[in-house]
Parts: sequence; structure tokens; C-alpha cells
Amino acid sequence: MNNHSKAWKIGLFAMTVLVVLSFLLTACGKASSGSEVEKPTTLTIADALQPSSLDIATEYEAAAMAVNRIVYERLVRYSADGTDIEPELATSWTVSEDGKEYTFKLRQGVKFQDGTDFNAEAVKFSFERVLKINQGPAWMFSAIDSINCPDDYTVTFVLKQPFSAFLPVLANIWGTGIVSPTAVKDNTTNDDNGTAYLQDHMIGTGPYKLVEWVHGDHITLERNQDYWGGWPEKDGKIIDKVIIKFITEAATQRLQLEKGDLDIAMNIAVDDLDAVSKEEGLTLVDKPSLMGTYIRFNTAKAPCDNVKFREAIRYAIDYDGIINSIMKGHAIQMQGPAAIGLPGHDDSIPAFKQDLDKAKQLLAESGVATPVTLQYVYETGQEDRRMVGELIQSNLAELGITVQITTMPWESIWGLVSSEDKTQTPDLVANGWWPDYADVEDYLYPMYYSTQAPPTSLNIGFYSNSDVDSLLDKAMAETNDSTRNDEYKQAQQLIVKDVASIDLYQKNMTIMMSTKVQGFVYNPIYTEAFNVYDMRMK
Amino acid sequence: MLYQINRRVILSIIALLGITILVFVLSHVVPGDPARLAAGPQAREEQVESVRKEYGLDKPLAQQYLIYMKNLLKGDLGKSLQSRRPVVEDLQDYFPATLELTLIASIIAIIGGILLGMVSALKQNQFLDHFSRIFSLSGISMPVFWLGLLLVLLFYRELSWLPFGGRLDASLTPPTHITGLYLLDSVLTGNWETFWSALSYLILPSISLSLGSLGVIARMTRASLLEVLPQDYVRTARAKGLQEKAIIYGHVLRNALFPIITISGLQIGSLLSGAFLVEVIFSWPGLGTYAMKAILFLDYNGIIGVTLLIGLVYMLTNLLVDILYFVVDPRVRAS
Repeated sequence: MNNHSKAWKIGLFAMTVLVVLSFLLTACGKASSGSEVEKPTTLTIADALQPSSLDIATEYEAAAMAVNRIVYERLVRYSADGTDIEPELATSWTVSEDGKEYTFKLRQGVKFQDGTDFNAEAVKFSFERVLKINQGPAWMFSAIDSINCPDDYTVTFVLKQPFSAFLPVLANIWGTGIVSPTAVKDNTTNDDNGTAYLQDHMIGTGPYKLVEWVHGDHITLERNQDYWGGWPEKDGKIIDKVIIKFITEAATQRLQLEKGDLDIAMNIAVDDLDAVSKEEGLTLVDKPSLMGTYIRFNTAKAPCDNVKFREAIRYAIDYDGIINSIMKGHAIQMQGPAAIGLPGHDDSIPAFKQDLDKAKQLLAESGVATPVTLQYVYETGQEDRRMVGELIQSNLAELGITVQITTMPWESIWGLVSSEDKTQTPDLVANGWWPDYADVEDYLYPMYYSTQAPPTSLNIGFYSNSDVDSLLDKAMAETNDSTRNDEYKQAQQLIVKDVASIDLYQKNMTIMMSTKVQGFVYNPIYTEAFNVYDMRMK
Repeated sequence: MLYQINRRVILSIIALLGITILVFVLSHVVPGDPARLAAGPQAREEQVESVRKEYGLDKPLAQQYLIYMKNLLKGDLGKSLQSRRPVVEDLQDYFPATLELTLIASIIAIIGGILLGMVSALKQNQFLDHFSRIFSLSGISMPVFWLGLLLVLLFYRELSWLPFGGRLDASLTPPTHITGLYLLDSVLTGNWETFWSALSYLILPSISLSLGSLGVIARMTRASLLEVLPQDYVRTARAKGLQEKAIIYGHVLRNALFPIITISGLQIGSLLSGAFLVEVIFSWPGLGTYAMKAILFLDYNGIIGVTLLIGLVYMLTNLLVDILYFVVDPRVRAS
């Protein structure tokens, strides 16, 4: 008996020693590696979304924004905190009288990250590549008829018809990055236009270059020492390395941020924002984006085909409740169908308020008999739209309107709204819109032009007004900016008068940041990206 | 014996084939258009068509299946809709992470479980027994993600003893890919800093993952040993004057091992699925992360690829268990 009990004690003791030893050794290993040579200044960002591919020609998801903004550059870009167009790789440009030709003068002395020269050929190559591959963002460039290079540093785009939103398209992230033609040509296999290679390689002209992509874990970028813009000394340390970690769990992001292992967390849960922003050393960036949320009516089916009925619904909704209780103050109410903050936005359109008396009066004037039942459908997973549905349910009950809430994946919704049979589209569809480019045209045309019903585009509910159509046609071809804005404003007025949709809110981007991060400037369209080149660490 | 193994292998291959049909049909029955998801939610119809053609999603279902099976025989699992590259490459990237986690957790669960069970059985009804039984029960009862978070709060946030999130310190480059198992690869390349970092990141997730199985194995070990200990041949061995240690190892444990091996084999299977939950908490870049996105994206090739791989692992584990029976139990050898 004694022998074996001693053996056990020794065995258990040995196990415990081993466990403690490995704890200590790893803790020591961690500590010692920290006190080594000067570590590069690193910015660590947590993002729940991992891009599918880093190929600028096919990527059309928010997940790739952060990387694409600083590794690739474009002809023009949006201003630091807004939507004005600024030069980037182009130094100046002219537009022809008829609005069909855009000529850009290019910056000289710029090199790609593989050492080759940036020139007009590279621009032509990059855009032609996007059109050839014809995926994701390619539709935005379908207006291009041909691209010419009169000399090494001049490039001319000839459009099939005037497209007044062309510059805003070129300034945004999707499909517009200029990629090194040499890199693509050297790595094309089986006629794939380099898509296999560019899936996880990036060769742009930007201030940061791709170091590694450990799938599922992180992307590392490092400073491009030869960047044409140079590295001006400012207060604080230049960021040498950017690590984007893919952390899907909000709780994990919060733990790491509070511990100091993260500098920026993009996906802290809305309920945690107040608590976390009170912590020392952390600050909350809480600014409106251009992403709109709407409720679209099926205007081809009773009773939502009745304008006064739609207007009655407009006045029945508790907008303040949505902003304050559902969005917890992290949203602004929309004023009309185009996003607030865009140059052509009509600021005279009011933010509607709940007025139940007016709603009841309009309902009576509409001639629609109550009780009546409406279907409200939202995309599964969009919790805020679910809560909006529940709120509307109780709001409309006051009018004798019953709302039935259903949820399904976006694909199923798409199937319903694209059906030839217009009665398949639900009475009320909650949809979100994120800007493809910073221009009101991107909001008005796909969602309100009569030919853009699904599956062509997002005019869910078949809204049709020939005056709106002709205003949009005119504005698309208009070369004078102020005339163009006037035309868009008129279109917005008409759309609001027709109550084509309930324009609910623009969500805020809520980003938690360490106070060590300096120089961050929020841009309402580059929402998931950071101006790392101008940022510094304390 | 060889005949048994052959038979087992052939049956498993048939099972795997059946799985491919089942998963293929099931994933296609789910409503949704993966081409649209892959092209981008605001992509226009023309670009969606382009993606559809590239992935052969416009062909009839039966033809898609035949194309898939034809490629499968060549070892080509098709292209993933979510990552735009061959599924085989994706699996090579994501599987080793899950494998490493599961292997370490299995080792902890099996060795820890057997030791704990032995202590429990040999010190029956004494303090150590009660303690280990409570410990085992807790391990089984606590949900693995909750346990993981608890450990993280204690060892990462409060005590700062261990790191958290991912497999390696983000400033270190992963070791040269030989097997994909960071511990093994860093030892093989002599990269000690990476080894210690990878080990430190492995501790919390593998312990969280192992505790449930450890509890089960401990309880089974205890029960099995308690059944064997009062047997006549043990009493005879003692009467013969054998050393206690020799009796425990040579007679008691050997005979008690059968059900322990069975349960351990089953536990490795459940560890693989528990790993998915652990991966979410610890943002471990493993198969669970990949599979989740595949399901959300309706990435057919990815889904089938993951299912086949897991099926293969189960098959191999079961085979291993059968071989172990053969090695451990002479009665099996004789039959």
C-alpha cells in the first residue's frame, strides 16, 4: 500500500511541476522578447470581417476597404474628412464640353511597390483588367468606351454617354486601384488575368505594402519606404507596421482592446460602447456614415399603391424612438432618400416626426378600409431592422393596420422581389444601402429609376415616376455642377412627395480607439478604412 | 486482423461517398444564390452571371455533382467561393490549426483523465477521490465557450500570465510550413522564440477544450478500475507477493483499458466539434472559422471539403482505436 501511494504522490507532483514550469517558461519567454531591440511602431486593428480576396478587380466587400485604401492608390480620392474630389495619382484633369471625355494628367516619378514605373499604360491596363474580368464592381465602369494614352503621363477615358458621377466613382475603393501591369503579366496563369496571384498579393503605389496574410488570423502591412509622398516628420511616431486581426467575437475584441493588445476595435457591441468608452486610454469615434436604412413599399399592390395610405404610414412612425431606443443614439434620421452629407443632398427635406392625428386623417382621406394587414420582411441577422419592424407594428396598430413580421436570408428576399409576379414582393421590405460612391446619383438611380426594379437593381417595390426618370437622365448628362445638383434636388423632392419609401436612418460608425492613436480623421465614405499614412502613434 | 482493417477501410470509403451526396444535395436545397453573395450584395446581374459561370453554378445539379466527383478522384476539391482559391489550399491553411489544438487537447484529456481516474479509484472515498469526482463533473457540465472565457478573464485579463487571441504573437512570422503545426514546425526549424510563443497561445484554448473530455475519461477510468480491482486475479496477484506497482500496471490497468480506449476514441471525435466553439472565442484560425464562413456564403465546395475532411479524421480515429484493441487485448488478437 505504501509503495504505490508514494508513487502516485510523486507522479502528481511531477505533473504539477511540469504544468507550472511551462506556465513560467512561456511567461518568461513573453516578457524577455518584449525587452529586446527597438520594436517597429505597430498599429493593431481588429476587424470581424476577413476579405475573400485582395484582388482589387473582384473585391466588392467592406472587408477589403482598410487594406485597399493604403496599399493601392487611385487617380483621385475623396478629401480627408468628406466627399470632395482631390488629386492622388492624377495631378489635374479636364472634362470635355459634352461630358464624354475625361483627360487626366498623371503624377510623375511614382513607382509601384515592385519597382516598376507608374504611367498611363498602367492606368489603362488596370481599368481594362476590371472590365475584362467583369465581376463585382465592374458595373460601375460600364460607361467606359475606350481608354487612350496620348503620352506616358496623360490618360483619356472616352465614355459611351455622359456620366456625371464618373469622378466620384474613380475616387472610391472598388475596382479603382492602379495595379502594376508587370506584376500581373508575370503572374498570369491559364489566362486568368492574374486573379489567382492577386488573390493574396498586392502591388500598388501606396504608402504601405502587403507583408503577409495568414488566412483566418491576420494581415500584416509594412511601411513602403520608397513611397512618392515621402514620410514627413510630425508629432508622434510614424506607423511602420499595420496588423489587421480577424476577430469575429465582439467579446474577444473588447478583452484585447482593454488589455492594450489592440489599438483599434471595429466591432465592439453597441451595448458595450458606453461602458468601454468610459475606460481610461480609450476613445469612441461615433460619427454618421452614408449607409442608409429604408422601408420600401410595394407600390404595385394594394393598399401600398395608394399615395395617401403611404403618407399615413409615414406620419405614424415613431422616428425618435427608432433613433434613441433602437439605435441608442448611434444613428441620424435621414432627410429624404439620399444620404445626408453628400453634395447634392436636399437639406430642405425635413426629418419627419410622428404625428398620429395627421396619420389618421390621411388614412381616412386615402379611402383604404381598415382593418388591413401588411407583410414586413427583413434580412435575417439585421437585428436593428427586426426591432424597427416591432416598433412599426405597434405604431401602425394605432391606425388599425396589422403588421406581420417575417425574416429570411437576403437571397430569399431577392427571389421574392425579383419575381415576374409583382404581388410576390412583400408590402414592406426593410433594406439597407451602402454607397458605391459618394454621389446622390448612387442612391437615386438604383432605387428610384423606373427601369431599375430587381433583378436589374434595387428599386424594390416598382416605384415609377417619369418626371423623376427624366430629371435623373438630365442630371446624369449634366456637366455644370450646380445645375446638376438642382436637378437632383428636384428629384428628391418628387420622391419624397410620392412617399416612395420611408427613409429611416443613417447608421453611425462606432470605432473604439486607444488614445495612443493620433491623427485619425473620420471619412464618411471610407468608413472601414483608416488614413494610416497621416496617423501617428504617441 | 488485416482483413478486418481492409473491410473497415472499404466501408468507411463508402460512407464518405454517401456523405458527399448527402451534403451536396442538402447544401443545394438551402435557398439562396451563392453567386450573388460572392459577387457582392449590390452587384449587378451581369457580374453575378459572370461569377455563376466561373464556378459552374449555372449547370444542372446532377452535372455539377458528376463534375465534382470526377475532380475529387483527381484530388481536386474544387474552388472555394469565399476565398477564390482551391479548397485544398484552404484546408491546408485552416486544418493544421484545428489539428494542433485538438491534438494537444486530446493529450491533456487522455493523460489527465486517466491519471485523475486512477487517483480516484485507488483512493476511493477519500478526499482526493471526492475532489477529482467534483472536478470531472464540473468539466463535463460547463459549456466549453463559457469555460474558455472564464480562463481568459483569469489568466489573460487579471493575471496577465498568458496571451490570448490567435496562434502566435502577431509580430512574429509563422514558422516555415512543413506540417502546419506551429509547435512541430518551429522545433523542426529550430525557431525557439516562435515555439514558446505558439505554446503560450495554445495553453488556454486547449485546456478549455480538454476539460469536458478529461472529465468523461476520468469517470470512465475510475469506474473501469473499480470494476477490475476487486477481481479474483488481482487478489491472487497480491497473494503471490507482487509489487503493488506491478499489479496496477500489469494487471489492473491493462484489463481496465478497454472501455477507456473506447471512450477516448469517441471523445476525440467530440473534441473536433468542440474545437469550433473554442476557435470562435479565441479567434483561432482553424476549420471552424472557415466552415462558418463557408456555410454563410453557401460555398458548396468549401462545405463539402470540410465535411469530407472531418469524416476522414473520424474514420482514421476509429481505425486507430480498433488497432489499439488488437494491441492491448489478446482476446481480440485470437479471434
